[in-house]
Amino acid sequence: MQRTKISFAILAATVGLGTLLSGCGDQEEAKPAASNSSTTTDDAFAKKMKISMFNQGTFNAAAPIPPREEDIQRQMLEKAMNIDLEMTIPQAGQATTKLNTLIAGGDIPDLLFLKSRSDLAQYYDQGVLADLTPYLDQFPELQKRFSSDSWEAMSYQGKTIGVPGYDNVNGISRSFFIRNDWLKKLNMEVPTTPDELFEVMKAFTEKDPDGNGKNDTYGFIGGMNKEGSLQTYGFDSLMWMFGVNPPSAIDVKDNEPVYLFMDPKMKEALAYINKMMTANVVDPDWVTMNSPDLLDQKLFKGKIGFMIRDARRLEPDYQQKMKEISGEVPEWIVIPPMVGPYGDQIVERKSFQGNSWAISKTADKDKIIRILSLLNYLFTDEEAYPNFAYGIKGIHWDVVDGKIKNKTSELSKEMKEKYLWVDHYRMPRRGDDAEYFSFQNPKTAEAFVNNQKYVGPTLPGNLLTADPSDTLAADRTRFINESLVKFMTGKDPLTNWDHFLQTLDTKFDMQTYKETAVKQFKEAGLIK
Amino acid sequence: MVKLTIGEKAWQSAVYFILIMLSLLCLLPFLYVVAVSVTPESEVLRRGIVIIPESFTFVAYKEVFISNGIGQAYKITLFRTIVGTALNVFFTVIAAYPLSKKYLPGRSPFLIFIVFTMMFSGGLIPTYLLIRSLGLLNSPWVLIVPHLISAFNLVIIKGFFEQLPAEIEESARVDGASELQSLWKIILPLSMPVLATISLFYAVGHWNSYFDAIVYINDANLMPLQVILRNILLNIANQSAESIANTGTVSQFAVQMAAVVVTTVPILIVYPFMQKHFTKGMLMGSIKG
Amino acid sequence: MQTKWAAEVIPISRKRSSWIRAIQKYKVMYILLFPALVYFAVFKYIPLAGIVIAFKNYNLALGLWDSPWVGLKNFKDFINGVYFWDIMRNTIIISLYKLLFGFSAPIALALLLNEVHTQWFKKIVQTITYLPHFLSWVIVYGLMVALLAPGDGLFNMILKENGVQPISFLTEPEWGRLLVISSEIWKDIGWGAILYLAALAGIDPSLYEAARMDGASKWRQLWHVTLPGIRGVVILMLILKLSHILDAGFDQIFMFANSFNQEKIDIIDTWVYREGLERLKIGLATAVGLFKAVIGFILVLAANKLAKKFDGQIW
Repeated sequence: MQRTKISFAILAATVGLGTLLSGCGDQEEAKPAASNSSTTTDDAFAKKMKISMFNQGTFNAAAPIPPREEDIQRQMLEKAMNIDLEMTIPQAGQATTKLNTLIAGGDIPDLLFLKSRSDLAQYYDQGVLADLTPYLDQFPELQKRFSSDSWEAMSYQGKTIGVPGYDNVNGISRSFFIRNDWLKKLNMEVPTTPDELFEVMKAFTEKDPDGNGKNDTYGFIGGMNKEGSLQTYGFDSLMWMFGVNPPSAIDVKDNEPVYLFMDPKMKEALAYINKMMTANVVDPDWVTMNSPDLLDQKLFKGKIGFMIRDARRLEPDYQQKMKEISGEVPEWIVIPPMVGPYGDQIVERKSFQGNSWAISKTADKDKIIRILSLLNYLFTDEEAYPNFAYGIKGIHWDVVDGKIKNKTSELSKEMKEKYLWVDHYRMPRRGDDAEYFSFQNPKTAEAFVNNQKYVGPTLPGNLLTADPSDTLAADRTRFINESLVKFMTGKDPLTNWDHFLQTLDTKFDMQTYKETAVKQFKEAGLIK
Repeated sequence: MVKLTIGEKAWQSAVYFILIMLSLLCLLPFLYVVAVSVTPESEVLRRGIVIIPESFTFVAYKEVFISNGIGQAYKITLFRTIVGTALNVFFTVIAAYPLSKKYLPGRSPFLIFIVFTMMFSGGLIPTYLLIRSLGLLNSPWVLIVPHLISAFNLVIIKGFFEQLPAEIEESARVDGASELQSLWKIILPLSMPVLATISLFYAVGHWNSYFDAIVYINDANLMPLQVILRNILLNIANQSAESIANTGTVSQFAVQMAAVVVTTVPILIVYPFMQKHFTKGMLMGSIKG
Repeated sequence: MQTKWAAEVIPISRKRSSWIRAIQKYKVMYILLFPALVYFAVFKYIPLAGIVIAFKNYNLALGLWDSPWVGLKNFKDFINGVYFWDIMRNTIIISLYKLLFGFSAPIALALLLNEVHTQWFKKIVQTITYLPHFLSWVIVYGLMVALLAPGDGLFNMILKENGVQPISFLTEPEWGRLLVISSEIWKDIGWGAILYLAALAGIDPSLYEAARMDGASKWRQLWHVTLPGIRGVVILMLILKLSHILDAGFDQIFMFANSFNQEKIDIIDTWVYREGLERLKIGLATAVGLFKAVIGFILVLAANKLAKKFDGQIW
């Protein structure tokens, strides 16, 4: 039953939330790890140790693994920790299969990167992972490196079973893009509320904003991923205007879980989207938009007036592309999110620290210490930082006037291609590291900074883990996704909303699901 | 040549017409793939469907060849395809021959024993455990040995052997030929079309498979071509917020299509070479006569 | 006592000796067969022990033997799924259509090619129709989007230019199965024809000559020479296809299905992917695999029995 898992959806969706603006102060105080390691565990490190690493966290799974002599990062890690590092990069879409067979064969990797909290919990439940609680006290720098939110996400059944995987980045992938040139042409203001936005989208659709005399423009396009989730690609951002979001978005208010997709406000959000569909302001191709590159193509073609895209599409490379395709550079600007009827103004909620590093249950105490020291070095050593976050000194970065300068964007294509593998080690890069991103267009940087104001707090529902006895989980997800789409398109009128909620209870056992959620929230101390 | 009646002429024209239409239907998408691989992205996006590009660029091919270790992957794929197919055909044929003899005691149970495996399998993990305990992990042989015989191909080739007229072989046996001699000298030459077919099935199977490599091999240097192709096909979306200020690469779409061309053309060429064996049915007449 | 023993032993030893005689007589045959039997025993039957997973709550760390037994729970979870009857119906319908058309189309192509006497034309058509087999479903779906997308799809652009309302081929449930089946036929028609071409090549040309001498028309030749010539392989392929009746094509459907059309094209395997594999429920996935295998096996046994009437049985 080996199957292709297609990892289309990934990015924009999983981009996480990070410690963007908070917590940078602490990090600067971190001392070079070389010195801590020498004070704590000098003797223990005398013995060379072999460490296998399942690096699902690489920023580029398709990049080759270079031979050891070229692999400067590996040499650094091996030297600092006196280890032999064997890194496995799972092939695209087959990481879970690969990991499961390794585990089943008894070859649990010593250090594993896991992509979600539910993976972390599941593997822990299956007896694959070690409890790290007793060891973490020895690594105060590592503890300081990540926010308490992030560490909370590593805690399961009262134990800490992982180390945060890497900083998520917020406020970039879901930016509100609008065609300023079209606005000017139609004499319209930047919209600030859902109603104004609707009028703008309608005008973009009907008033021939590109002036080609053809009725070929649309106000908006969004999409959904391969699994049918509306969590990415635009519609979720429209829903946030009403303070709601597709399933899995669960808040806690007044000591009660709030399932945002079932909230009465969801009806308003769906009605709004339905109004857009009925008015034909949504490009009908939205139904085929199941990967970010398809949406990018729509952005490049210049027939859409409003989209949710990554702020980095303002960068010169993309602007150039738009010029080649449509002959002109459309004047896209990133605007603040709309203020909804209940005062919500949200680009996204802060990403949950879903990813993590976990350690094999088969590792003994010495090995666990060594691996944690390795992570400690990777994440907190200031001198080592640019070597991992940026790449190779003299190529990807250099010291200019006593300051570290990231030169990656100046590299030729050939050089970038040649050193793709430095992506395997980028995990330490901080979510707020402006040098790392080194935006070339000041407007990108501006959008990035402005969006931070509209990043809401992390949703507590992310802490919930799947209940293995819930055998209808996948069916329920399918039903919810299908129903929401039917309401959006009007195939099912919103008068059937109550019937939808009822069916969830009667056919899809929603009650049990809710009870499990309450139980888990109680365990996490979010509900009393 | 006998003169064709009008009805037959009409029939012939209809046959040609249907075949030409079908060929176009099959060819155009492939031309599209090739065209996209050599067309600048802006043109593809502007025009939507490209069959004949207005301008050419080979950057996508350059990208495929530079960055993805395709040379090494070619070696592995050629190894598994050539050596694998040779072993496959050999072991399949020697098993199919006895199974094609209805008089062989135990034939039915043996066949059921084999056909059973076409439906029932232990699943990935038990197979992995077996292969691990055989020490095949991370060896290029793991791409060949676990697929040594396909029950499907075995049953097919056995079916063809059964249909050969028994008299030919019997007469040879009367002349004192051993079983092996009659297999080698009579059965196989008469079975060229099906041998060619089965070889093609095996070769294409080897060429196209990637899953076994992903599961059983860790060493990136032992990965076959299809794994690289998959990486290119599936990694398009990977412009994440994690990754560095976007690499702004060439059209990913073109690179994908170039990768499809580079990984597919060699195996496509095999078929025309194999087709010459399809006309050897003549042999039958000559031997019989 | 003595006599009783003797009475039982004699037939056994007689049987045994007949076996020994057979083995001696067909020594070479059994030696030829031996490697295959060893191969299937080792690589197919040893892992079969893993079927126990279907009856267990499989735990990666505990492994095959120590994971707890759960009886038929995995099967029950499968059958109690809300969409069980939907996915069963879709699987069977899609599979039967594929069997009906996907199976006969290559035969038709092979027969058409057999009518062509211009060798170069025949070869070119053969080669071209074999091309689509090498395009993965990811690519095929990409092509479909380029052609059929409701807005920018070529086909719908043409419809719009002519004032016709665009059709949402890729999302209308009514189009779902048609697209799945027709694209499968398109993709594998040339590939599937190869085997029948091989069978046609094996037909003794003297049979055609004899038929022509008797003044048989083209149709009679087709009926009396060509079809009997490929009957064996047709029956064989039919039996083999039945063994996978519950595999309606995961890779394809996984690409084609979306929230709009999955009510008509969601199949067993895509469900198992979502509910079983995505959620580490290896026991469930194994149980469904076993269920499919049992159905397939029963069908093969029945079909083989039926095929005996036409002398086309496998064993």
